[in-house]
Amino acid sequence: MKTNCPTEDMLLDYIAGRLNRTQASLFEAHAEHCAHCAALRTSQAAVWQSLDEWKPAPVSAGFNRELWRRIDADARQSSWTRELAAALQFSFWKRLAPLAVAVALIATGFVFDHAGKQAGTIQPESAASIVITASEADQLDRALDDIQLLDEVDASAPAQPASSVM
Amino acid sequence: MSPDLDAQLMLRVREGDDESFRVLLDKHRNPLVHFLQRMVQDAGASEELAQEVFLRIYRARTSYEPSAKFTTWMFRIASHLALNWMRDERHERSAVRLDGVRLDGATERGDDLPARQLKDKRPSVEHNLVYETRLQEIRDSIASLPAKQRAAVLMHKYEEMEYSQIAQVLECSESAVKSLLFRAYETLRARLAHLAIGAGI
Repeated sequence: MKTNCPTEDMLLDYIAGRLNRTQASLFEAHAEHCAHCAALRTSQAAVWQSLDEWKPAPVSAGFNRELWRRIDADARQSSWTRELAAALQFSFWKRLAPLAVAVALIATGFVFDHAGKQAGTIQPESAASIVITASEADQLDRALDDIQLLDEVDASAPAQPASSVM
Repeated sequence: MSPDLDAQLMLRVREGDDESFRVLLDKHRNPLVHFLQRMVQDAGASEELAQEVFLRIYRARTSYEPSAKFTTWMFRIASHLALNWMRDERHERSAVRLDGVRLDGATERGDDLPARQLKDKRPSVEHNLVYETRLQEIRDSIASLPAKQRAAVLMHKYEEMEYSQIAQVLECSESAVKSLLFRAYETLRARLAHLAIGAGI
């Protein structure tokens, strides 16, 4: 299609009879002087006319009846699934409530028990604290020995005048 | 913009008025089945698909909101179903022909020709044969188009839809629809040109 030619949708609309009278006249005037558009118009008109020949088959007489049968079957199935859903939502879960509570209690007990056991297994920290206590006792013994030694040294030393203590 | 009367009817269906659904069904049954006949080119499947479309519309009645034209919505469902069917059943396309049933739903016998043919002044066997050959070529030409191009052409030609409505049905832009149509008609012009010469167009 050349740059000054009408757009292709205008050609389609012209053949489909969707252009108003002014637009159609403009297109026809152009096609009189443009071999390209004239050829397109002819071939598109041929396609249009060929497609017109394709008549569809009549719809079956029982179409509506079969559709309503399907709609009824669908409605029945829907109500059955609705009832099941309702049953699952209320009575079913209502019956299961005591069991759910029991399971929750057991689970809680298990968690607490497990936590207690975990607390009892912190042995390395306890052992460390015992070790620290033992070393502190040794230190205390050594300190007492030192004090005793100093006392012995003091006892063996000569007495000082009272003014020098002040 | 004129109010969409179909949407008004559908709103009544939403309120539980089945009679309004019957009105919609009677109004749109034939165009929908014919669109699907040309789309899938299988008479039995096209009616089953059309029933599925109406069933889905009926199922969706309680949540229906008139956000688009009713026909746009209906053809969108139909196009989706047809495209899926074509994708799934492509390998069985020849089965109907082997049963001796034509793709437009009639049998191979001449007494099942469309009504327009019956009005002809006793068409000869040769005339019928030429007519059948031409129809087969037209059907084959449409069948040769990619699915979306086919849907666009059928809606443009037979349903007389605007580009914007076809775009809404196929869920693409208006320029994409024009592109689909240009390519489709270009293919058809090439394939059907000899029919025009033969018919003296």
